[in-house]
Amino acid sequence: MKKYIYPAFVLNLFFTVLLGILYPGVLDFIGNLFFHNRASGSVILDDTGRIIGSEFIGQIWNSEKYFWGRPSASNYDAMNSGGTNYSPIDTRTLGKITEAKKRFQNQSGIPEELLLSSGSGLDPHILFNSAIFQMPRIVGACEGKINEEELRKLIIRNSEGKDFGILGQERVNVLKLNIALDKQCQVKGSGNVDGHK
Amino acid sequence: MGDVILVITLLLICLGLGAVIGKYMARSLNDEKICLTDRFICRMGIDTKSQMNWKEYLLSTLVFTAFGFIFLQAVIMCQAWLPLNPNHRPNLPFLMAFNITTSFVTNTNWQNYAGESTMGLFSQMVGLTVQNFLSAAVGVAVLLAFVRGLLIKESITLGNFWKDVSRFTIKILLPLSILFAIFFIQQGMPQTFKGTITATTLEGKAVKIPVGPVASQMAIKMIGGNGGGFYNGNATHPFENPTPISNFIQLILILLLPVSCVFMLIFMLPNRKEGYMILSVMGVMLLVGIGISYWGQSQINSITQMKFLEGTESRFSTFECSLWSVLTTAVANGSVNCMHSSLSPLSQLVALFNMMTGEVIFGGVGSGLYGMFLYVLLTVFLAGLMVGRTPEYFGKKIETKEVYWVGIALLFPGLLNLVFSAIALNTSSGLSSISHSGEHGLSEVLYAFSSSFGNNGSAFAGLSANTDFYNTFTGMGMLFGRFIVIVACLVIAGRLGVKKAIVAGPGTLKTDTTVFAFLLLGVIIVMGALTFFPALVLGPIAEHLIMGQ
Repeated sequence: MKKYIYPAFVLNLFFTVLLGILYPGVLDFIGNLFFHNRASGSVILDDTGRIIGSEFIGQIWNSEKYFWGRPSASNYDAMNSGGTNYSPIDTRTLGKITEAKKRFQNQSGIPEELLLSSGSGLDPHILFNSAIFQMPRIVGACEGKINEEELRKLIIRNSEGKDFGILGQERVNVLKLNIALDKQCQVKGSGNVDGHK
Repeated sequence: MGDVILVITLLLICLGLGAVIGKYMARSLNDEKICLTDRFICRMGIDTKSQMNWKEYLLSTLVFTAFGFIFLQAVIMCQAWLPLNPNHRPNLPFLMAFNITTSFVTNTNWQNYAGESTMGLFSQMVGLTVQNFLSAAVGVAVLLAFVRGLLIKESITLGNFWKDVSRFTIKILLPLSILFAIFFIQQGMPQTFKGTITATTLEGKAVKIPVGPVASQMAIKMIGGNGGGFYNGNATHPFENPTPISNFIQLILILLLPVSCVFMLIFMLPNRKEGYMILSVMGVMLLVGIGISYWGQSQINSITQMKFLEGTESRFSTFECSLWSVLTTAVANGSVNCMHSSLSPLSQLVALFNMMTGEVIFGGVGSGLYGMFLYVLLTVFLAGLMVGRTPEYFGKKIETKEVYWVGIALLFPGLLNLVFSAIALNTSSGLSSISHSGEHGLSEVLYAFSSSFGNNGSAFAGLSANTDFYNTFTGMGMLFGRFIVIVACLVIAGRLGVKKAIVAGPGTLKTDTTVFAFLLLGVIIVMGALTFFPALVLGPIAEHLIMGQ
């Protein structure tokens, strides 16, 4: 038995050091050297250098004057990622849809993805059309500081197309779009929006 | 149209890269010359020279895995006392830790925990990441031993386990992982030893975002066929799969090494047509699965009158979601880029069927191919019975004892899967974890055990799996699913190795023909269907019919 125990023990120890410590350590070094922002979580700072969030992690939006993301099973709690895991025939989905529709005041033609929860609960994107759909509300909430044409341009500027024409979907990063929007539409008194100045 | 181009590009890249890596594997893993890795391992006092018979090879596999088990179990049960635990995660209780450990040493990566709220960074790195590598290496080592058993004549030597494991880890897994981890960081995966980012949103709300050494773990998670995520959301989580490009690359990685293993076989065989036959059977089954799953997923759900967008991510298309669900279950990967529980019933069916057939459509790294060989031996045996001749494979007579072990390896995991599911459905401790009533509740349990026995690791995550019942039973399922097959394969390899190879005569059944490929396909489907059809009818098929009303 010693014939097996010694090599099994030593190899496990050796690989633990090599793959468990050296490998991630070296990558940490390389990552921070060449892609420092990416490696540390792609944080976005405001003008004063405060962290607003990560480019890749969706946030919850309450104010009328911001674009809203998809429903989330965990209410965008990044410590609790995951979906609802409702089956296609689960009627709980219908309740969720009704709830989500109410938020959009039961307008007609709400894009489906704005009614159905994302897989991670932290989806940072909405589809291009879902952003266009929300334009009238934003224009209204901005009280004349931005018109539809300007807003459309803003969305287009912040949208990401399919990669190589076949990968992914045409989409908008909600946080980035809202930051850009914030610069043009500073409204006081609508929600607690004055954190960012 | 874009979707067709996507899948064709994907498969061509996998075949091309797979051929290159497979050829390199065939050469470097079988090279008799002592290489740098061997010398280094030798320096530690490990014998990499002597040849092992099947018993020695099996014992090495088991003892090696046992030590990995003890290390990992110790790390996660003591993580509160270990360094690099910036978020102060507590020690995990025994049964929960048992399930996690079993899961990672068997290459399953079934997760009864949510990574970001359970695991310290030390556990993720030094514990889980290491086993991601080693469990994949063990799979390839067993495959190598099996193929050598087919090829050697009147000999008992199947190779040296220590040499096979360390060569594959150091020469194949590590360089690939470094390469792709760097790419993933560039795409947006974090790689840091800080635990959390604290941010204040534009609306003035404070939020915490967990980060860590994600890229290094995700690279091997995809390459080694493990599939266990850093985060609970797995590859739906934007940090684990930030862009459509990272998604495409990960789809390639799911298939890459399993395809490479088939090419390694092809380059090891004197008659390469035998290998191409297996490759084409796997390819056909994969394409059919992709087709059915996509068709199901692109329908309209009649309950919500909407597309199947629940549990998806907006950066990935419907096709990218259904494609991933097929690949991750055909290959024993088990990662997800949309929530499988919310997939269309037909896509659920394909995923379940893939796992129930033992994941032989390319399958796990190493394990898929040795699983496929069991089906090949069974088919050879059945065909032999039909024409009334002693069945032969590679000139080796397939006799009672071999067929006996093939039977055990193919039937027992399926049988136990159904028995465990039945126990779960008849006890309150099994039922209380289910989150859906009716058909989908059954599917949740069936999926959990199919995933465990198939060493897949994906889940219908509505099931609360962190209970004593499921920790014990899925844990046993993973162990049985892995080691029944490994034991059977090594026994068969040992028995075939000592046989004489008979020169093929006019009456020999050719195993490299289209006819044989169809026969093999039939055997796989009939075996899967006979074992699981009733259960599938009550689960996903019933769900599909209800939805169609």
